[in-house]
Formats: sequence, structure tokens, C-alpha cells
Amino acid sequence: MRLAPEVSTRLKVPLGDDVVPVSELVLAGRPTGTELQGGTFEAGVAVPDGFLVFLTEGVPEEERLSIYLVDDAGRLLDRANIGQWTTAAAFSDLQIESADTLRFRFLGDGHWRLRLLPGGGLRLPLVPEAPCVTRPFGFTRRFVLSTDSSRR
Amino acid sequence: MANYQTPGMLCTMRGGRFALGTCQAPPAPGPSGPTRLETALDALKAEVANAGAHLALDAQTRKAYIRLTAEMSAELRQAAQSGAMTWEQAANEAQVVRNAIMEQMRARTTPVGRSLAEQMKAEGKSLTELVKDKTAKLFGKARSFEDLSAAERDSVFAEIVASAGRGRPSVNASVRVMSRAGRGLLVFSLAVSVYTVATANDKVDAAKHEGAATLAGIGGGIAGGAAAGLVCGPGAPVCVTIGAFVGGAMAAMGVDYFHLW
Repeated sequence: MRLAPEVSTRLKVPLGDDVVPVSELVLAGRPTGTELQGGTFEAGVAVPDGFLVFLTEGVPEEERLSIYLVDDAGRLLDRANIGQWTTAAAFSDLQIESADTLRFRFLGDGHWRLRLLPGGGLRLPLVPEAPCVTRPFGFTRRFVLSTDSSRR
Repeated sequence: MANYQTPGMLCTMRGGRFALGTCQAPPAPGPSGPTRLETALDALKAEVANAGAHLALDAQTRKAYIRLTAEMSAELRQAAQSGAMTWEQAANEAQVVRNAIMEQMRARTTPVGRSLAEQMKAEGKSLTELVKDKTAKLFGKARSFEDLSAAERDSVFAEIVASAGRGRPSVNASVRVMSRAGRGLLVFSLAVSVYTVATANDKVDAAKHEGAATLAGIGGGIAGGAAAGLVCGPGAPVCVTIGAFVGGAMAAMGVDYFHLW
């Protein structure tokens, strides 16, 4: 893993009162056509055969972080969101811990850890792997999120 | 002469013996005694109303939260524009008032809604961080707040005031779905109750029973969720949801068991 300055996004649909912002993924200056939910690009990280992209919606008082795993061509492989109703959150302190793990701060009083699952893994749909994490309905995942934050 | 019930049959005793030809099946439970199936169906209906009420109540609370924060933001903007306060004061006030509205609204949500909103502590940005972010958004990352003119600084604070009046659009979208689903479940529950009353022999008794079971289901759900919150802590949505479900079912079955109508 390494921070990837070649990853960026281009805002396609701006934030509105009832409109979720949408951005297009840009890799090495080339638009990929892949649309991602979120209007504020927070970070890009290169991983084996792809990239992790971190985007927030742009409402600091009730922020949501969207994490996308894409392949080298920008095709979406996996995604997860972290957010909690009526709760302020801010993305910060991204640190790469090892070849397959990084950590960052967002919601809660501790760190979040993201660990890549090289061969992918199974998951139960609708059962969050950590509090405040949501994913689209499905049975597989390519990375797993955990947090050492204390519960309220 | 006395009546004795043998397994599955009710017989009359005469002279210490079963009187021949008097054994018969016990009468089917009438209005005074619902069967287990009826009780289970009542609990199911009450759970539908319980889920619908939870969704509809939380959606309403969310709408109120959005309305109040938007009004607060508009009032502060007006106050700053009229010179009643500076834009910096308005930005500070917006943070404080929004938090107060949030606490007020959390108190009005159902225990399940509250548990979903209190799983983790906030990790918000300070006003200084917000100022830095909004400066970068409005004027680019190359400029710092200190380099801005007075009017430009005011526009940064104005953006913070506007932002405080905004709810996350992805939540707003979910709430619209929740609101529709909640109302749909309540209408479905009401329709089943109306059908039950319409087809009952004793319509007044059936209406009382339907009303009691539905209200008990909703009330029991709220109480069960709150009780589970006390045991598991407020930020435990799975536990609180189970509590709300069990509370609703027990209350609805209790109405039948104790004949509370």
C-alpha cells in the first residue's frame, strides 16, 4: 500500500439539499467513467492491482465516508460506507500500517482499520462488520473494516 | 352433577360415573377466549403496526430536525445580513444551536432510532477546521483564511452557517423511503383490523380488541426498546430492536391473555 497521488475525482453532480453528490473517478489524469457517491475527495491509496478511494458527502455535521476498491482500470470491486445519523464526523490521520492494512480516523473516538482480503471473503448481508458500517446487499467483500472506538 | 373435561372432550358426571352420551367436544373459543392461532395472528398484526409506527415516528422526527436546522440557518443568515450579529458570531451560534436541536430531536426519536444515532461518538470538525475547509472550497487550497479580505472571510462564515442548516442528502433519501414504508405498514395493519371487525359477529367487541391489540403492540414496542436500551446501553441497535420486537409481541399477546378490552 502507498498513498496514490495519481487518484483523484471530478465532481459530476454537486451536493444539494436532497441530492447526493456524485464524482467521477480519475486515474492518472484520465477519467474512468466510474461514478462514485461523494463530493469531497479525501484520499487515494494504491493497493495490489487497484486503488482504494475515500470520499465524503460534504456535510461535516452529519458526514458519511464512502470507501471504494477499484481495479487498475477503475472498475468497482467493493464498497462500504461509514456514517451515523445526526452525528458529525471528519476524515483524518490516514496511516498505512502494513502491506494490507491502513488506519484512519473518522467517526468515534478511536481509529478505523481497513484490511484487504487478498482472495476476497464471505459476509452476511445486512449484518454490519462494525458499528455504523453499511454495504450494498451482497455476500462477498474484498476488504474488512473494524474500529477500536468505544461505544457511547 | 358436574362437568369434567377429559383430553379433547367435555363429559357430564352422574353418580361418580361419566354419563353415557354426554361427552362432547368443548365449545370453540368465542370472543371470550381467542385461540392460540388468533393470539399469534394478533401479535403479528401488532408487530406490523409496531414496525410501521417506529418508521413513521422516526421519519417525522427527522423531517422536524431538517426543518428546524434549516430555519435556524436562515434566521442566523438574516441576523448577520441585517447587522444584528457578525458572520463569525453567526457561524459560532450555528454550531451550538445545531447541536442543541440534535439533542432535542434524539430525545423525540424511538428507542431504536436513538440507538442508531448513538452507536458512536461524534468526531466533528472544530470551527477552525471548518473555516480551513470552507476557505479551500471557496478560494482554493493555495489561500489561507488569514490572507482573505473581510468580505471573503464573511463568505467563509456564511458557508458554515449554510452548511449547518443542511442534512445529509443520503439520509434524507433513506428517510423518505422509511416514511413511505412506515405509513404503508400502518395502513396495512389498519386495513386488516377493519376487515377483522367487519367480518366479526360482535363488531363492537372486535373493534375494542383490535384497537387494544394494536395500541399495545406499538406501546409495548416502544417500552421494550427502551427497556433493552437500559440493559444493553443506548447505542446497541440490534439489542434495542429485539427489545422493541419482543415488547410489541408480548404486549399484544397480553391483551388476549388478560382479555384487556
